[in-house]
Amino acid sequence: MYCIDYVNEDSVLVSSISAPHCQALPNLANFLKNQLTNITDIIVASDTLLCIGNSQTQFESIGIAVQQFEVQLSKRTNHQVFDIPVCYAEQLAPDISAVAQQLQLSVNQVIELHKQGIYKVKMIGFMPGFTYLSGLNPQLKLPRKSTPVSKVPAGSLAIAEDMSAVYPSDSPGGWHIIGQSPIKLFDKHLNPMCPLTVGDQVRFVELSYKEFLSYGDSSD
Amino acid sequence: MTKAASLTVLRSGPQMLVVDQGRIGFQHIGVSPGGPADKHAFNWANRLLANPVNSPALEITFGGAKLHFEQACQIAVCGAAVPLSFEINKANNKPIATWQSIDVEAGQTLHMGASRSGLRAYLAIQGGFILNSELHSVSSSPKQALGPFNGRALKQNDKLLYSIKSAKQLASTPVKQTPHQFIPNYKEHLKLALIPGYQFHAFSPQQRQQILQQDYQISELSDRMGVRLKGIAIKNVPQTKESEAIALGAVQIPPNGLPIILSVDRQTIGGYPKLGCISRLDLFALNQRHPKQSISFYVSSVEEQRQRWLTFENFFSLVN
Repeated sequence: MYCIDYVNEDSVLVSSISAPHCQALPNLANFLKNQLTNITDIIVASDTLLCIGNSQTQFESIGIAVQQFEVQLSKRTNHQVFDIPVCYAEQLAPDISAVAQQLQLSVNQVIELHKQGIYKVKMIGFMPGFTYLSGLNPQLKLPRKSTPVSKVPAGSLAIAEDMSAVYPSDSPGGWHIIGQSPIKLFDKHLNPMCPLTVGDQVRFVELSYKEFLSYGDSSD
Repeated sequence: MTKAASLTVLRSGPQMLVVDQGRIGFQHIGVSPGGPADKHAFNWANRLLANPVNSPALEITFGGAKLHFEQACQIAVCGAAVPLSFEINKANNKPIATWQSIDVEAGQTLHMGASRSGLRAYLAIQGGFILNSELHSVSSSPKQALGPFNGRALKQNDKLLYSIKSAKQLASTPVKQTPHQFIPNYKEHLKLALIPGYQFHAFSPQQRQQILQQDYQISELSDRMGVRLKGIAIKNVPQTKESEAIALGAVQIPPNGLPIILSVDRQTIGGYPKLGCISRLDLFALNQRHPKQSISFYVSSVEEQRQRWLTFENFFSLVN
């Protein structure tokens, strides 16, 4: 079941209660985009999506489209699996030893547990390209830092609670930094600007420090 | 091609940004819409000049700016009550009114004093400024590094281009004024229409009553991202829930029990519980209030607020 609530003059919040309905939210977003006119944006999160329209939007049509989607909920579109290269070297991982200590694991165990996981893009937001990845191994679960750091460098590989992420640009941040990726998760000059979409699967592929430094060089 | 002249920023004041209707359609990748904090005054400034509705204008916060115009043009300044005068006329320094179109001669410098009422003045120019858009908008977004000058606020010696109008074109444009009844009084107490939504029912009846019955003060920590309120904090705020999309005007209550109203530069998703959203016309009015001014909430329906918004959109012909 999806519940539909109007939240302001042009936006409708669609909430889901059951796990399969939550998992289908990225598909529902695509379905609504294809089915409806006068929708300017759809923001998908863990158990809700916000459908933003304009004054021409027929709100009733959103409800009807959601009902249509529920009927054919079993049909799935396949999402891609995306590899993100990361380097866990201590030079790039200011918090990894503290994380290991807090979790009573070795640094190598933290790295192994982190890169074994298959992650899923749960939502994108907070800042351009910030991608929340669910599927972190429960053994790596730690609360956010009590005091956020004022500047986390772009590319930082981070964990907090049951999620992992790569910072798309320099920003303040409260997550634990356990490495760095040489790829950009938001670039206004590229099409698409974000390589990932909600629902995609992600694997982290380890780079050595040397590989990290030469990443993107065509000379190797 | 039409020839262009430049406007030079001699003094920017505390914050000067370029704004158009905002960056629409990129919230799903985390890009905030930005745009004018007050679309009422922004739209009036363009309307007085018969500009297309998405013409870029300047948003000048707290006033205090000085601008030099290379060539003759027509401008309009709406929003905050900022004292205006031309340097060239200092001998018979005649104040110029806001909320009307203003003829500018070539080489004149416009002085804008500190705002007496309202926070943000919008300066539009006939034909708009000539700028390259980024993600379909020219709005400055310092945090996202999007917009002209890589998104940063304008500073001294920055130049913006505008197209030169012929003497004949300028002579044929009469001065227009905003009718008095459309000019808001930014000094009066503001009542914000709250459309209940999101986690409204997770708050206890007592908590909701406390929020709806008190007068809040606007905190000096407010900005284009969010307006923070000071007052009696509500206790035992419901637990933070899973993060979700934040709609314009959302009223979130963080654990300290004091509301934050999320504005045009808001983050696109967040996890604090929300009471619902305030009407966007009231949000624009709120964005003109100075710190320490008082506001309160009243409950309204989405139908009623949607009607108000449609009337606004029709009035300014914002609908394509």
